[in-house]
Amino acid sequence: MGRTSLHGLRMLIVEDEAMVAMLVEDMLSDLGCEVVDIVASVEQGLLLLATTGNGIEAAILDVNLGGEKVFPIADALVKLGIPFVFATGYGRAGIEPRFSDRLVLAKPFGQAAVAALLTEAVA
Amino acid sequence: MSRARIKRVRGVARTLSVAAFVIAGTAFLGYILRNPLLFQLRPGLRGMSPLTALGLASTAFAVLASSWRRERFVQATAAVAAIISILTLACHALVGTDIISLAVGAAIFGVPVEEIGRTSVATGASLIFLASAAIFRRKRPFAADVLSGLSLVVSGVALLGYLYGVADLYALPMFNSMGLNTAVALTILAIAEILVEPQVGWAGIIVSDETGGGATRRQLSFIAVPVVAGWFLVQATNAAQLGAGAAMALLVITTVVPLAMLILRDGRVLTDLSRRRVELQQTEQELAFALKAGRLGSWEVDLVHNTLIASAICREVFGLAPDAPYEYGDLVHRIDPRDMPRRQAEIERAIRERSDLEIEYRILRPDGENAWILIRGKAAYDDAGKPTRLAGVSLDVTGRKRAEERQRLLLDELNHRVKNTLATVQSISVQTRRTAESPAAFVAALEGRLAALSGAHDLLTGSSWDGVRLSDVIALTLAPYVTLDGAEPRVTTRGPSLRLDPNAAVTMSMAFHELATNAAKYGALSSEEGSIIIEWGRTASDPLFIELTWREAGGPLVALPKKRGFGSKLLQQGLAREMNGSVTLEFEPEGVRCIMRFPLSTKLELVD
Repeated sequence: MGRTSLHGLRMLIVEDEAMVAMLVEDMLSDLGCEVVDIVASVEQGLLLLATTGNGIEAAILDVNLGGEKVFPIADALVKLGIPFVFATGYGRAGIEPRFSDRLVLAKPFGQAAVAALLTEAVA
Repeated sequence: MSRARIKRVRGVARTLSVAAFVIAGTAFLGYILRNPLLFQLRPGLRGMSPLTALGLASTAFAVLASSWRRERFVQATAAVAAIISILTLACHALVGTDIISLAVGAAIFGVPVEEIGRTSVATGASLIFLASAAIFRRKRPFAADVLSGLSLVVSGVALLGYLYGVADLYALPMFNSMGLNTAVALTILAIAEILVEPQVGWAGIIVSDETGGGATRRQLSFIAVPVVAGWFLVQATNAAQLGAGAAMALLVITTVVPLAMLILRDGRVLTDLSRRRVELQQTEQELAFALKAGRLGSWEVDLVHNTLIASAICREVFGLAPDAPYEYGDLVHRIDPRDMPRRQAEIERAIRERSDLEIEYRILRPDGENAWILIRGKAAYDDAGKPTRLAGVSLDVTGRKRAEERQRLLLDELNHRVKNTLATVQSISVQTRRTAESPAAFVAALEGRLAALSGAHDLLTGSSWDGVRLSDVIALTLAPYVTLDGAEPRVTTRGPSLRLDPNAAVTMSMAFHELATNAAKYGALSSEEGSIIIEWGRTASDPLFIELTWREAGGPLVALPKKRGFGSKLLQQGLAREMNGSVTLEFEPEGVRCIMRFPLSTKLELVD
């Protein structure tokens, strides 16, 4: 933490729609980040984070994963002290109150917005 | 009854009491001044006795005090009157006449014995009745009415005697005479005593401003008819112009005719009233029917005593049995605590601003079921503007509330899908631009991919976004390339029925679109003889996996692509990841081969 550059940042993408995941992956690659993994469900996400976080340094979380909500993964990230931003079409209204201080990317979003929010999240 | 009317009637009672007091006082003054005219009225007429004057004055005081509700004063003065009457009556019982008055008049005032009035038994009884009536007025109004009524009858008989000149009536055997002034004073005092509390007992009926009050006053004033007629007939009989039989007959006629008219008139009023009551009952029944048909409960809260009356439907909505006893608290207790502050504020506002009350709140029924209740009502106020009651209707709106909730969820869901679809379109355009060789190629590729996305949405909409069959996805994507002229099919599909969830359906559609576009450009679908076989089924090694093979044949010789395009990226990364499996793409010289291996899951299910 306290990073000023996104270069080499080890990222986790949680996104259940393949096309969107590919877009985010491209954006992050363009920003110099290293996408460690892309997961499409809460179960996969929790499995990957396990107890150590597998070297992940930041995450972008889609809120609605085919009907289930991403918040258990967010809780796990909070516990591990890993910064993250939400990505959702609902806007802030769909975020549970306990994450009200977290940044939210409004879908659809551009690369500049990802860069700005991610920089703020890891700073 | 209006306050002004009550005040007016009390005023009449006070005036009458004062008049009685003046008559008694004048008589008493007569003894002090030794002027018999003041208590006899006419020389030789029986005068009011000094004891009667005292008794009447005390009783008049008692009635006056009663009109201001000074109870202790009432009791004291009435007790004085009662003691005086008891003394005179006791005297009558012991020696046969009122010797106390004689003694008082002669010894104290020095009035000649033959001029002194004596209190008659009738007067003594009348005074006792009136004094007791004044004592009972507040606590036993009915007893007070009867006592004053008895007094009125006794003094009325004496008055009638004077009026008709019939001494028998005011000096009945065993009674000695009742003075004229005594009879008048007793009569008006009895009327005053009855009117002193205008809202209770007989007074409440007589002075009422409702239909019954009018009829009662009319009927009471009819009493004047036989009295007046009787007077004329007595005069005529005395002058020997008329025999007793004829006089009686005339009295009957003059009394019966107006009585009959009065009866008919009041009969009509009563009939009107009962007809109106029947109509009212009918309206009430219709209202009850409408309330029942609309499942509307009705309720009324007494704001002074904080009590509730609620209809059976209203109580039923709150989960109470229709015949079970209930209190206001039983219903309030059911309201969701979260809605209580809002409810309280709305009720207070409606009362304060005299506006319509309309609130919806949640309740928890005794059976544990939740419901939404709509309350509409309005407050009523007294003359002083103080709120007295709040009344209105209640309606179970749970169904509407649930529908609203569903609609809100649907709108949220729609918003979510639109935003995700926009993100997907964004992804497609960005990826397409990266690999496009020219602006024209970009537009063509983008249009094709958007059409594939749109087709996938059409399939999903057809199934209410409940997932679609793999075979339908393949059929839709390949439709533009399959000839329909009855020739040998160029595309063969084989496999068990598989269901894809909405996300998987979109990605699979896009993936097959990429395979088909590639085949049309460079592969099997670019030549006349080319064909494609698509087969899928469970793998032999692991029955929980599905393996799908896309195999092209008969096309031009395949060369390895120079760079990895959007299609291969989507297949090998996007699709593989989304389906939690693997995708291999082989550019064999005889044709492209794509093998997908996906685990069975909620995204991909075998169906019958």
